[in-house]
Amino acid sequence: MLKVKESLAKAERNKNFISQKLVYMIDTYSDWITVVAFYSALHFVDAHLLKHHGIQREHHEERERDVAIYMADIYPAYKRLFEMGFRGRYSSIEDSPTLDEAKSAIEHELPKVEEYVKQQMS
Amino acid sequence: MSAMSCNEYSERMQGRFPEVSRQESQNQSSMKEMFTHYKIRYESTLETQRPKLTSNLLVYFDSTRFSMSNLGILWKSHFIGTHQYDNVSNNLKQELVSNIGHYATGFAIEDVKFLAQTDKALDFLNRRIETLTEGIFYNLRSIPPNRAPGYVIDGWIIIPEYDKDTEYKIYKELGSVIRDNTNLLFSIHIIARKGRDLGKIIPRDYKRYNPWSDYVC
Repeated sequence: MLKVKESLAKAERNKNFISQKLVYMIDTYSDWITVVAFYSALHFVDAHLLKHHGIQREHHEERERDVAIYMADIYPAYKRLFEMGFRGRYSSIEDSPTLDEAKSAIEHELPKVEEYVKQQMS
Repeated sequence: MSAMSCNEYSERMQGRFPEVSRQESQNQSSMKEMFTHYKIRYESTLETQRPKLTSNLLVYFDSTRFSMSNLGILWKSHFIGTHQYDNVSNNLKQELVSNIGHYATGFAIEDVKFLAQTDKALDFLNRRIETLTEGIFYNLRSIPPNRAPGYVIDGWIIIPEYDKDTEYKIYKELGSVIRDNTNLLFSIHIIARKGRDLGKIIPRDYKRYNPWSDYVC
């Protein structure tokens, strides 16, 4: 299990992968943008839950529950990222996140999660 | 509920769960009475290794209402993990056979209070989002006993098309349901129908949530 700093580092690394590489392929691989955006959010959330609540989770269901309880303000954004990432990983191409959804992921949902976590950290 | 959806529901549910109206269910004053009504007999002495359960129940299903094949699909896959079955002592297994004999087609170990709570949670969610959706489909997935309550509520919420505003409204309500039921585990997804046949987008064995029937428990 990662420590707080390690989770934050993973979150930043995933975010950088989007901004440095994936964003240039957003038209073609919008699904992968959402997958990486979700995993960036996941590590931000993990850092917050560990630092402020001493919680470390292995499973999505328990983590989602903790976000709903302890980070209610960002639950919808986190959940939407989760859902887009889920579709990006498992659904058919027809159901994969669209370009607009990928843009929303990196311009709205992920920044919302990141800002919340960093605000609470400072 | 429209006649079409009722028929569709009946076809899907035939042989799986007994049909009991919500009002009828509410009139039942105790869990024991409910079991009697459902022709389910129970045994409360069984101990399992599930650490956070307080009232483990061994539930027998009467074959007059359930068929083996349905039980195999529904209960064996989702409610009876082999780890749970293995915890049943040989004496109790023999007792099962002697007590319920040939008409016993199967049994499940489950803490019924969680199932009742699951039903209430799905009912609440359904009421809050039904105007936004074309239905909620769910399944109960067995998970290892160290993850209380021992199952995850898998769900698919059907909406016509992906739409950010609609999704946010649904997630807001879902978050509320999760906060109100912190001892349950949810894995609820939204999927856009996009005019497709529901049978092509809903995985097999999922059941439409029907507020007029207490089929969860």
